[in-house]
Amino acid sequence: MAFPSTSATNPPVPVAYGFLLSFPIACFFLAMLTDIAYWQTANLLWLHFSEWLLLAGLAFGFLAGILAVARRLRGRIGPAWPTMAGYAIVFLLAVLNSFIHTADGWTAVVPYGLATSVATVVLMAIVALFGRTGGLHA
Amino acid sequence: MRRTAILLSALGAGMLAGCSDDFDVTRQLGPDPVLPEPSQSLWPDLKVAEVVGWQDGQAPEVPEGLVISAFAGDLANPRTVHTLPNGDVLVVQSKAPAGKPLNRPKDIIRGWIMDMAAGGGGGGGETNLITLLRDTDRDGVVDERRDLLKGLNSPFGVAWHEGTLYVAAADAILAYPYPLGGGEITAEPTILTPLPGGPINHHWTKDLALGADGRHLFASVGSNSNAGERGLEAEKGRAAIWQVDRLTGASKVFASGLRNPNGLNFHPETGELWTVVNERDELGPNLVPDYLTSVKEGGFYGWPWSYYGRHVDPRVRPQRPDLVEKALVPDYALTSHVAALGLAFSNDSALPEAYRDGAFVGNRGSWNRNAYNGYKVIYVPFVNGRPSGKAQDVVTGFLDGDKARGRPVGLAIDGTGALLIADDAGNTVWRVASADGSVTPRPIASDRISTPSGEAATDGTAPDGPDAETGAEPSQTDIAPAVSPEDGQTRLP
Repeated sequence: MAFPSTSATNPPVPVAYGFLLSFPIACFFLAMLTDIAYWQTANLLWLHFSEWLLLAGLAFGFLAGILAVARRLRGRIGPAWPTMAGYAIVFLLAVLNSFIHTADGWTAVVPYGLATSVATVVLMAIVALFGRTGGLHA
Repeated sequence: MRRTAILLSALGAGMLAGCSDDFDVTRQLGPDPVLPEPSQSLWPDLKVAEVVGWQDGQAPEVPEGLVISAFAGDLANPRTVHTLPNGDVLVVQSKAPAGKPLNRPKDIIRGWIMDMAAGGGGGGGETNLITLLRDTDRDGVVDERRDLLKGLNSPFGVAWHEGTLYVAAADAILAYPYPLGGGEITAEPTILTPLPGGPINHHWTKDLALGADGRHLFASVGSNSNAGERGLEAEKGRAAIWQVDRLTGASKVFASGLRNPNGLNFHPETGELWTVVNERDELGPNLVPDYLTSVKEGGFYGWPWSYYGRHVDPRVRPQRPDLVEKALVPDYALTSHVAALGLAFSNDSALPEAYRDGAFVGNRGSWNRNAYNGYKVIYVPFVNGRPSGKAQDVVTGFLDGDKARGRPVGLAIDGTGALLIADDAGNTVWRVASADGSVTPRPIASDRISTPSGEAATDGTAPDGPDAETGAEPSQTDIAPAVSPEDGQTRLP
């Protein structure tokens, strides 16, 4: 098992951060799928799934962001600032998307909700693929 | 904390239309309202007046020729008033039933806003009861007050005929034996027919009117959603007016596509059924106008697929162009988001001549709008049984800046021919009378029937107490008939 070895004053990116970050990644991706399902079926069940998934992704993403920013401000290892800015944009897109999804029915998803869901996922993938860690030992 | 009314304006810009603050709302008052294009904002326009209640000596304002007084105070959310054939007045007090399931994150915020609009705890007293107000000497002052029924399930409409008091609770029409002039009801009710109820019961107020033949009751059943967003399954038998056989409980949907109909009344001259209807929200501050309309048997009025005739609501899928094509256009628009809930025809009342051929409408007041609308009682003049001319404000002053002293709901002409207003946030019933003190020669009941049934209380049709205990005869509609709007349509010629 190869966690990078570090000194006690500079632990690796903690498990908690990865745990929290996995929620928005999964939730926003699933919200895109449930949006597609609603678009294809007009079954309101899928709209409700999207709404709760967005909310859950935002809640855990907010905690992950707090943790990451707090660590970097204390000079420890974490995502590089440009990476964090990318995640912040993902977060704001999901906030916008939650508001779009409050509409009563079709216009909650088609076309702006679904478009925003796709944009959120694409940007999230870009940040994940090209993101860098930063900090004293980066 | 001067500004406790909340005002949350739209956040984003991209997909928003303008707020149209300069829109002249009177262009939506009348038979041919101006309908702007729908605009959906990220966050709906929201402005809720905080309820502060009435201080001693305060009262709504009325124009010259009328006087207003508090007919009864210290009530607990009075929603409707009803005059019995002997002039006794029933005040139905209720609050929304609890237990609505949480479907969406949005429901949490919505519930908070609705609580604010209702004024929180109301009068502090126990609600869900019916109070009898008796003005024995017909001088416009209540001489006797009794609580007739308590512990009801969010009642709204009442009707009385031939020794039976019918109460429309949030989930059924109940029948109680009650002779006119009685001071209490102790018998258990029989269920005349179940009505679509909880657990959602979004628009829960079930109004009631007695048909002119004395045989049928007409019950309003509001929709379970704003624009069908809880699915069509939740709307079976809803957004409709039911016709119920008074003796057997057999029922059918009389008219459908009416989002939230209340204030059922038969026109005293034409015998047509009229209602006021709350139309849908979140299409902009000036959509969709609430309306006053006559109701045609088998008529379909659009909800949820279209509004004001064939204006398609973009939110509702799958679309139903076949139904939209059949949607009837309502008779008279009352402007948007006024929350019209009360209706009373003034014919044969003791009010001044200027108010004696038309309809009073109680507008509880808006929330889905960046400027207040409603919060007053208006008068729509009629000619030959149809609305004719602009409506005028009659009872105002419910709003004080950005606070609400009260909110008018149900209306009725009382036993002396004056107008009664149930003020559910101000916990008062107001009485608006002619300033010259005129009264009608005799009481006129809220339900004016043409058959000479009179006031016989013992003609055998009333369920009697002991039988009711054992369940009596079962209703013919144990399960609410699941009637979709298209079923209503097939009966159209």
